[in-house]
Amino acid sequence: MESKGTILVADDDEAVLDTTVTFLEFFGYDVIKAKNGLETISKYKEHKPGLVFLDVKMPKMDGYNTFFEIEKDFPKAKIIFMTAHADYSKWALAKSKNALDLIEKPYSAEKLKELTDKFYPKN
Amino acid sequence: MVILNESKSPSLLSYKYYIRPNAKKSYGVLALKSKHSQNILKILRMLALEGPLTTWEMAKIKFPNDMYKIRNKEKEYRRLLVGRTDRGKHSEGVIDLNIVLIDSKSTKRNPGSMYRLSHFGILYCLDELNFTAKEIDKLARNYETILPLIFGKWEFLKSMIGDNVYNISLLGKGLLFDNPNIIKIKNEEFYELISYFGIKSNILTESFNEQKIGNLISLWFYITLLYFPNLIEQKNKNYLKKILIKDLELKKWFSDFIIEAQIFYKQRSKILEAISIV
Repeated sequence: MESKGTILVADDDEAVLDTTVTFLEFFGYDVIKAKNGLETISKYKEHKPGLVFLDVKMPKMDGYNTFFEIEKDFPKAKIIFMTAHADYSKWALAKSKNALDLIEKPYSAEKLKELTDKFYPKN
Repeated sequence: MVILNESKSPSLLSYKYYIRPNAKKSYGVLALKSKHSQNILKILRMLALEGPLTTWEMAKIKFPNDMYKIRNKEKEYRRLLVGRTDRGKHSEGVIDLNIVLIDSKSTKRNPGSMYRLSHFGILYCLDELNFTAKEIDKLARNYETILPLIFGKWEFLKSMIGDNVYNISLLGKGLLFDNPNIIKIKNEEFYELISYFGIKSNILTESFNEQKIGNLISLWFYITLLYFPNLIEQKNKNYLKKILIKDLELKKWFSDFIIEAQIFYKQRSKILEAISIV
């Protein structure tokens, strides 16, 4: 199947990461994984994915600060936050800088599909 | 002829949490691209696409006419499969990880053990080897005795549900739906059936054999027909019903599973009703 594009998923919880990746691949995307904030930044620069699912609470650098770092160099980066702790502390600021959405875990596969269809449809 | 192994086998949860991660670490994407891991993947590919083979037959695929090279390669393949004991120290082979097993003894001109993929080997190959649809079709033909309710009905299933047959690869990735904290399931019918499937998988933990593992994989495949196609397609198609109407053997088998689930939950419900603390 022809790939719909590349998505980066960043989460330090391996089970969440694997499951999210499996569904996104099932929807037809190539997926790159990252397990902390710094790795996310370096993989973003390397692959320039069309969409990013970014966990808020991560080691080395949290999701919000990772977003702000990426946004400095790539103001059009499409980033969706994921949180298991209802951490909305810097969401308003991130949203003002064009973060797309913040979803709470656990999320459904239907939600992933809805978001990818909305923000990163097939070219 | 492929013979189902009666000896005790690990569970699907073991596949997800032990066999797959360890295989990935040793031979898969997480392994260094060593010659060892590449050779193991070659063996797995041969067993998937050619069916059960002796090490001699495997070596003959690589070197069809060179007897010297066949002999050397055969020894190498056997070592990779069964491991090696050197000065009392055993290096593990693929068999130790339950991905490949000895099916039978070959009675051909060059007798020897006949190796084949186990159920977990089939799942692992579907995950790791990036098969094309045609290659998965071939795998299905070679292993129809191992998974009769899926691979034994492969062409029928393809005619009923098209490319959705290939969703079995998602089980290879360990998608067991065993952790509701990770993925929320909206589809209620699917949720109840896959939850009972999870319970049943654990109940059977102590007495697995190949037939039971095959049965569980088949249940996963048919239950998830209520889920995966509807994530992709706009119309809510009931592929499972469509299949069960046409295949009475599957209908009886799946109905028995639903009845078993109903009995289980009724019994649990009675226990809850009998609690008289409040």
